[in-house]
Amino acid sequence: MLRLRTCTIAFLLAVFSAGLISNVYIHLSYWANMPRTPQVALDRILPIRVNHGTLVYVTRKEFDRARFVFGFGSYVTIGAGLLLAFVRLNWADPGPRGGKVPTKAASNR
Amino acid sequence: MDFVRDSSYDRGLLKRFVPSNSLAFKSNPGRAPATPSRPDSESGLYYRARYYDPAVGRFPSEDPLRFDGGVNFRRTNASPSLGFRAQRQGYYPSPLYGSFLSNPTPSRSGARHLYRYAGSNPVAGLDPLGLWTVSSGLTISGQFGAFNWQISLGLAIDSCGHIGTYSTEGAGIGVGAKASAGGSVAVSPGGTCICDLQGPFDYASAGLGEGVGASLDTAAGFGSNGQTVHIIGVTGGASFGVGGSAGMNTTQIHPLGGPSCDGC
Repeated sequence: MLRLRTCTIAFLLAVFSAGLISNVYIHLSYWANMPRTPQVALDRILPIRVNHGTLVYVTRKEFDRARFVFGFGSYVTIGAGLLLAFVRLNWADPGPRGGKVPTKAASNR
Repeated sequence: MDFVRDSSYDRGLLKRFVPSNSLAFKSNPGRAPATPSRPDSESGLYYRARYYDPAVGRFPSEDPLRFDGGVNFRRTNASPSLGFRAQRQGYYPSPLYGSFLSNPTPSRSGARHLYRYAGSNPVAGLDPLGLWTVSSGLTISGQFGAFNWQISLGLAIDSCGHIGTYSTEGAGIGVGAKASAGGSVAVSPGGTCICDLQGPFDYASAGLGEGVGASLDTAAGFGSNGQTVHIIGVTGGASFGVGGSAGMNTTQIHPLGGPSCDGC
């Protein structure tokens, strides 16, 4: 049971962290690298707002990637966060492997 | 007279045509405005959400709140008498700007136009309305060891009338509290539009309570115009332990209605 709980938490934390990091990465990298005006020669003609409202122009592929991360990715991250909260509060840590937790009386003997 | 499009006005509320000979334009050609709560650090001409041209004592863009802030523009002044004095001194029709800034209303009638805030004197007067964003929803945070995570869901509105849902996920390091969940309310004085909330923030949070608890949350990020967007909020609800956390979160905004963010 302990291993299952640990694996579940590790999986959820990995999903949550991946979603968060990819989201922040898209915001910051697009904000730093993408043009503020349409670049027809580079096919960067689709507007998208990143990093607190900055309007940048991206290609269709970059646009789809951002939409995926901001949309579906965001929902998955939120879902993983909710499950983490559930696990944290409702799936009690069974204690050390082997089951028995030494009581105060036992340790005083 | 030539009118040019200032690219730095793309954030909507400043999406106006400004005269090319405007001091505000010359001082900031294509430059990002500063934080709405203090003047532009270089030119000193940007006040809250709009530029000010001291040469004519006027703002080159209309009030983004339009008449929602009230038609008595003097009430936005720190000193009502100052506003009246500014009116009497006649910051009115400017032949320099032609009809763009014209004000056909006589000065002593309480002119109704959108180019005068704080009695057209933001140096001495204040414009307490500015622009703001408010968000409210559910916040859940928890900890595994030193790893802290948090998520939030709710509604955000701004002073331009935009409304949308937001979702925030964040992670960082923390100490103390096992978990907390509750309703949260946050205000963003630097967020001129709900779209300004979209993106990464550095956050810090501190809370306490056993059973029922509360926490104070703050976050900061750089807005679309280069201004700092602050979020200050409180969360009240169930809490398990005393703790604090800091890290990075990111917010997504899903507009539900109101005008386009381009028109904010």
